[in-house]
This record gives sequence, C-alpha cells and structure tokens, in this order.
Amino acid sequence: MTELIPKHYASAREIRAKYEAGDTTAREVALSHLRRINEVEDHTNAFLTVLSEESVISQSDAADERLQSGNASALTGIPFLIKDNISTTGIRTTAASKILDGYVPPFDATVVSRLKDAGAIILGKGNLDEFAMGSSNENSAFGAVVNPWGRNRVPGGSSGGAAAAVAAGEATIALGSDTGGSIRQPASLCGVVGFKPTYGAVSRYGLIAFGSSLDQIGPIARTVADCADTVNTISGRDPFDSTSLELEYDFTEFLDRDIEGMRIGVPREYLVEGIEPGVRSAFEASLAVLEGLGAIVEETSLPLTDHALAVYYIIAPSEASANLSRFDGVKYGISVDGEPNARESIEATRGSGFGAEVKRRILIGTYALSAGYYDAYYKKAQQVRTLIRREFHDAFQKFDALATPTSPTVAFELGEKTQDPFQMYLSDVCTIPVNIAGLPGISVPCGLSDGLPVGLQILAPQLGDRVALQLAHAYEQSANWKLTPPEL
Amino acid sequence: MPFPRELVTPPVTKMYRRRLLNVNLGRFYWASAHKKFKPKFELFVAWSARIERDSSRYRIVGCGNFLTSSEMNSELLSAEDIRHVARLAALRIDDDEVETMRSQLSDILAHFQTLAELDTEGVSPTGHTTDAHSVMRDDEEMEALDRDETLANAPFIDGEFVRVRPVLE
Repeated sequence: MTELIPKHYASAREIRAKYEAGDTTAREVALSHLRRINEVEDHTNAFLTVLSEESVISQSDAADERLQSGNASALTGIPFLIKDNISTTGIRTTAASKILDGYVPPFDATVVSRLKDAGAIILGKGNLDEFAMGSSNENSAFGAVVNPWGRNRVPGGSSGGAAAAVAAGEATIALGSDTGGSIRQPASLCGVVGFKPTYGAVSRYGLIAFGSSLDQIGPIARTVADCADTVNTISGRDPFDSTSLELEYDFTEFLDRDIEGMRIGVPREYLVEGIEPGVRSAFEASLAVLEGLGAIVEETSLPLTDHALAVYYIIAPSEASANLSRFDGVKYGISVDGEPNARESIEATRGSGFGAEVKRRILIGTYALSAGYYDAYYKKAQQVRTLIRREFHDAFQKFDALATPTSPTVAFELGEKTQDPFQMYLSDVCTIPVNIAGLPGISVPCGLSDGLPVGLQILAPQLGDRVALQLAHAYEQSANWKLTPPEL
Repeated sequence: MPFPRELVTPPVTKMYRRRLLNVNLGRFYWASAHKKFKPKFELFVAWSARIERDSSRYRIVGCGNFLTSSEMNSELLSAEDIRHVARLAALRIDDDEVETMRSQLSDILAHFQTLAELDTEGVSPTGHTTDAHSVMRDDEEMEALDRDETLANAPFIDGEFVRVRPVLE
C-alpha cells in the first residue's frame, strides 16, 4: 500500500492528486484514518461516535467507483468528521448533552446530504461543548477533548473535537459550527484552518440550534483551499432554511490572485491588554508577511469592539433559551419518569439532562427576555448590534479586510478557566464581533508561541468570503508553516 | 500596558480593584467605584470609561456610570430571582445550584451594564443580518419524515401516539 506523505497530514487536495494519479484508493485512505483514530483517540477524545469499518468501507468503495468513472467531485473520497450537533440519519447525534442520549435523527442536515452527494466519506461524529456552548470543550457531557499539541491543554471550543481530530490526523476535514468563534478559536488553538462563512451562506437545516441569528456551519481543515472546496460543496440556497442565501460565486475563485495593493486594517482594540506577548509577536510577524506580499497594512480603530462581548452574551443566551425549550423529554432524548404531572416531568428532565453551562445560559437568556428586563437587555443589545454592524460597514469602506489575532492566548490548561464563567467568555473576545455582524472570518495558523499554535484571523465584509480566503491563502502559501503536532 | 493612574479617581479598595480588573481584563476599559455610606447598606457609584491611546497620549472617549449595591457584582440577583427565572424556563435546580447561579449570573449581568454607556436613542434593533423576512413557500405537499422512525426517538409511546404525564389534574 502506498503511504501518504506526510502520513496522516495530507490535505484533501494532496489526497485528490494521489487519486488522480492512481497512487492510492479511497478505501486505503479511509482505513488508514480509522487506524489513526484507533491509535490516538485515547489521547484526544475527539470523536463521540466512530462509524464501523463496514460502513466506512462501503462509503469508500462507492467513492472509488466514482473516482474511476470520472465523475468525482473535489471531495470524493475525502474523510470527514461531523460535529455532533449536526444531524446525521441513523447515526446518534448528541450535541454532547445527556438530554439527547439515545437520539438518532431520522434525517440528514442539508450540509451532510450535500457532502454525501459529493462522495465524501463520513468517519464519525465530533465531540463539542454541550450544545456548542463553551470555549474549551470542557462542557461536554462525554468528557473533555485534549489538544494534540499538549496533554494538559484544551483544544478550544466549541468545535474542539473537530479541530483536534484534524490536527491529530484523524480526519482530513471536519464540519464545525460557529456561533461566537466555535470554528475559528479551536482551529487557532490546534494549529489548523477554520472558516466561518457569511451568515446565510450555508444552510443551518439539521444543525441543532443554539443562537439562530449567529449560528453558521463551516469547515476546519489543514489548508485554506480545502476550506474553500468544502464551502463550495455545502453552501447555497436551501428551501429548508429561509435565511440561506442564493450564492452565485465560486469560493475558490480568488485563491490564486495577487494581494498586492489590498488594504488591510488592524483594529487596535483587538490587541487587547490580556493578549499574550507570544501571540502579539506572531501576529505582528504575520502582518509583515502580508506587507511583504504587497498588501497595505494600516492601524485602525473599532471602538465598539469593547461592547461586543456584552451584546453577544445577551443575544446568544436569549436565543438559546428559546431554542432549547424543545428539549422537554417528550419527543426524544431522556425523560425523567415518576413525576406527578407534565410540568414537573419536564422540569425534572431538563434539570438532570442539561449541564451547568447550558443551565447558566438558559437562565441568563430567560432573564434577559423576561418582563421588565427586555428593553434594558435584549432590545438594548440588538440596538448595539446595529451600531457594531455600522462600524464594520464604515471600516470596510476603507479596507478590503481586517486582520486580528484569533485568540488572545494560546491553548490554556485544562481546568484553568472552568471555575469562572466570565474568564471563559473572554476567550472569544476576538471572534465574537464577526458573528454579531454576520461577516465571514477565517483563522489560519501563524506560528507557535511556547510550542503552541497561534492563529491569524482575517475578516471580510458580508459576502466577502472570497477575499478572506484569498488573503488567508496568500499568507499560508508564503509563510508555509505546515504545522504538525508532536507525535502523540 | 500600564494605565495612567491619574485618570483613575477616586481611590478604590484593593479587593475592589482586583474584581473590576478581572471583569474588564482584555479591553481598553477602566472602571472604578467609590463608596457612599448609607445607614444600613453600602452603595457604590461605579464609573467606567473607555480609554484610547492616541500615539503616546491617553484620552477618554466614552464614559458612563451606574449605581450598584455594595457587593456590586454579586448582589444583582437574589436567590428568589433565580428560582423565578428557573420556573419560567421549566428548569429544576437544587438549592446548591441556586447560590452558585446567583453569584455567577450576577457577575455576568454586572458586565452587561456597560452597554448603558452607549446612546442608542432611535437606533433600530438588528434581529438577524440578512435582508430576508417573512419568507413563504408555496403550500404544496412535501415528503414528511417516516412516522415509525420519528416515534422511535420518543421515550414513551402508545401505539402511534407520544405518551406524556397528565397536563391537567
């Protein structure tokens, strides 16, 4: 059998080139990933469900047939992990919550059916913070994920399993979801690429809803090009999601364009006081690389950045408190029996089924929406949301894109922030504004600090996805990091 | 980055400064509080300002203040508030949890008060960021989920029905 070189860290495009040259088969690639999962899963805990060898072989044989028949797509025969808050027919989907124990969706999320149509291979379902609420993956009811870069380090969250699996060579690409940074922050902390498209670019049908006006599905991969190929496959109008957009562009279109003369703003509010010196210096070095490629980099200011966290932690829990009301122990998941009436039964089921962070957010959201507080919290936050959108809109009159660090810190230690929810919330300070404004954002690795990965985040205007991908790709090609974690 | 101390008036207690710094870590933001003694309880006036660096100089670009009780972060919500909200959310929580939630949620809500600094008079709220609204589809028959597969997920079923505890007693 022909080994992939480097063994588990080939990008989807590298694998595709081998398929085209006849150097390997989808079955070989998929089985080598299953072996890798067996080897390292004890360390990472990135998967909540690994599909049977039988299922993986049948998927990969179908892909091989397609590869031979000549009607393969960019993702045919590429091994994927799907975050476990994305519905998959016949495969248990838990959102890492006890309350959904035993739930097997009778339908596929639109993104999953589009991947299947493209001939991608699904290896299993990825661990996450319960209902995607968290920044460290420590809120999973099935145990924390460990960052492949350090035994005692978090992978970030909430798509921690997705990022760790790609970083550890367990999957080539993963689908995650991003409500306040849940694709980009773990990608940054695990040294891989994470892309959150413009809100509406990808259908949310079948994604277990958290904050519906903020949620967006996107890829975590080893390269920017793999992210672009994935979004090409999963994006576009879906009649099952009324907010999905009709997109007529090819996400890979700008990848190889020159970035000379492009204007990049660096909002100084993102270089916050809590930023680690190693993160700052890696970020500044990445700006120099972009300048070296001919981009014009200038400091700018987005003063409302300071308020984004408060806006987010009002709006997201408010929407969550409504979305999570569907978990009542009646239609699916667990149900606490023996209560005298329906009301008590629902309260008991929710009380024992949800973890602490989910309860916290349901309570904050319910409070913010309750009589007497609605105007002071929810409405006020929605108004400030308008101001933040305007501020971005104005900034994008002057700049093609904005560059910031993805996270103020590298991967922190397990348990470091679990006692103080607010400290945990601050992990998302650089990623949240993008969701508030519905913008596309991408995190691309930009070096190491104390042996742990740092991410460069590029933000573009709404529907400027191709510009974000273009700049990230240009940086990636020029810096050529190709980070792989120490052997586990 | 050191903040210019002269901007910070009046003096705050050590414990207090730590607490506020915690809350505001990571932003060009500084908050301070001073104590006003009242007969039975203490009241703080906290003020907060956003400080920007303009080359080598600092300037205040926005400031506001708010009243809060003596423990500031930890007294915004009472145990009764938590129980009331939990009831609204149909969420059973035990007594230990009530106290933890009360103090953590008070901390978090204290941070939200900073939004009061911003003038939002006449600003329309943003519900979501695409222009779509009231999207309708044609009223046509569509394929539905399989009933047996769908009911298979319900914890208690009775024939083709989902069974629940009594709603009316």
